[in-house]
Amino acid sequence: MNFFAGKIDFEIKGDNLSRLISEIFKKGLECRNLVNYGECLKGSCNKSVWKQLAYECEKLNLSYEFNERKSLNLFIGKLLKRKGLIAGFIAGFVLLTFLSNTFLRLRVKCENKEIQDKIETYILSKGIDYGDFIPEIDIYGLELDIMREVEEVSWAGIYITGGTINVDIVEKVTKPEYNQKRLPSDIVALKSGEIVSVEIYSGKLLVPVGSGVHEGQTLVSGIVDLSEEMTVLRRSQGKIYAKVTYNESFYCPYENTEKLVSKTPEKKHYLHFFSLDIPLSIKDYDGMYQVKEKYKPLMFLGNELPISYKTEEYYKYQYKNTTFNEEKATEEVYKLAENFKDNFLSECEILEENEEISIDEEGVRLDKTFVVIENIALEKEILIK
Amino acid sequence: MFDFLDKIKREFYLTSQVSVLDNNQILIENCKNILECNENLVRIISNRFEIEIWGRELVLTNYASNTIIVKGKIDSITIIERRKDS
Repeated sequence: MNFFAGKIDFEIKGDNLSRLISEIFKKGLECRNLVNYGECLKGSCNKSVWKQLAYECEKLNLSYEFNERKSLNLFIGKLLKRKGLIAGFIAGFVLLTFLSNTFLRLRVKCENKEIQDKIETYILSKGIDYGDFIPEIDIYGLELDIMREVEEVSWAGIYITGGTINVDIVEKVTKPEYNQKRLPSDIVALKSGEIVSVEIYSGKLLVPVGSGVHEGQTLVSGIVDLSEEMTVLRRSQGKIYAKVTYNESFYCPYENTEKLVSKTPEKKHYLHFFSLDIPLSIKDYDGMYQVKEKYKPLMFLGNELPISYKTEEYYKYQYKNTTFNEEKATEEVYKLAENFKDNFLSECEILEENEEISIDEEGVRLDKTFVVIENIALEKEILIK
Repeated sequence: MFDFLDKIKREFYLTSQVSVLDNNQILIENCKNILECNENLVRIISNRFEIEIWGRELVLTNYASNTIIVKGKIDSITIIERRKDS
């Protein structure tokens, strides 16, 4: 009881102390540790008793001093005087209540990053945005929608912790690609050319070596007649090497406009709060810039906060007119030709390479002809009705 | 007659009861008044007696139900019969 109500230690001085003690006893005022030191009476009592005791002292013209010991009531009384604390406490309580019912963060638990991004985009596209009131969100409906509309998801479970919406995902087991090993197929020409050599493992060769073929022509058939009465369908396998001609043209003008982008960017920082960007600097950039945005969420005890630090990187670019002379332009076109060879003809055997260079007022053109031997076999499934 | 009255007083708890715990504490129930209390002497009036408690560092605690506890180093207890002045 003393913890809640508190205790008063008093010291009463005067002449009528014996009468006071008598009054204390008669009126049933509970006091503890009463000791009369001649002209001074010391003791302790409850706060409610003290009021009456103080009244009795005043009636008997006795002077008194008292000291209130720490108690919960005293603490609360002192606290109530500091209105700022109470206001802060109420504001904090309201803010916490608001934040725990506000959608602040979305966490998707999924091993596949692509599916995770897809689900995040899907949820946000359903009209659910950061800052929404969580009890108004139809969680059950959202679970069903995700399971129905996102193909990669087999099961979805959503639960709320504070201001975070957690989505647990079980992915669908993807079916392995259908193996067409047993399906009958033909081999058709991928490109037009002249057949140089063949390596046939199964199927019936329709076109002899040395003949010219056009793109799409059937070279090996999967329909094989074993006898007059028996026809089987087989998967055609093999390699058909043909001589193929590539005619390519490469051009380099004397005057070229080149886009030069700077390597070191200018940076501008923002505080990203929900969908609001609060600039942290007043810099402004004029001119032509390529912009990249980077987000770095703020962390608290290992958890991402809905506030992030956004950086915009401004890469300045300009168009530069480059002028080539004839020699330089010629060098450029040959470079282009080499790149073409490396990218497209690396797996072919080049038999012949012819070139024709033409120079005019505006630039240099290089026309090249490549005669190569490459495998033009393409397997094509036979459709059975 | 007087024995009967005594019996009634006892049965109805109208007599004072003094409980002594070692030499540290005395509990007195059914008191009427406190005459004196200081570090060395506490004088209490019960129904028929005046109880004097001598000792050192005596402190007194009273309760609303006419009960008093005296704590401290108690040397002696004296019970003196009160005489009614005619």
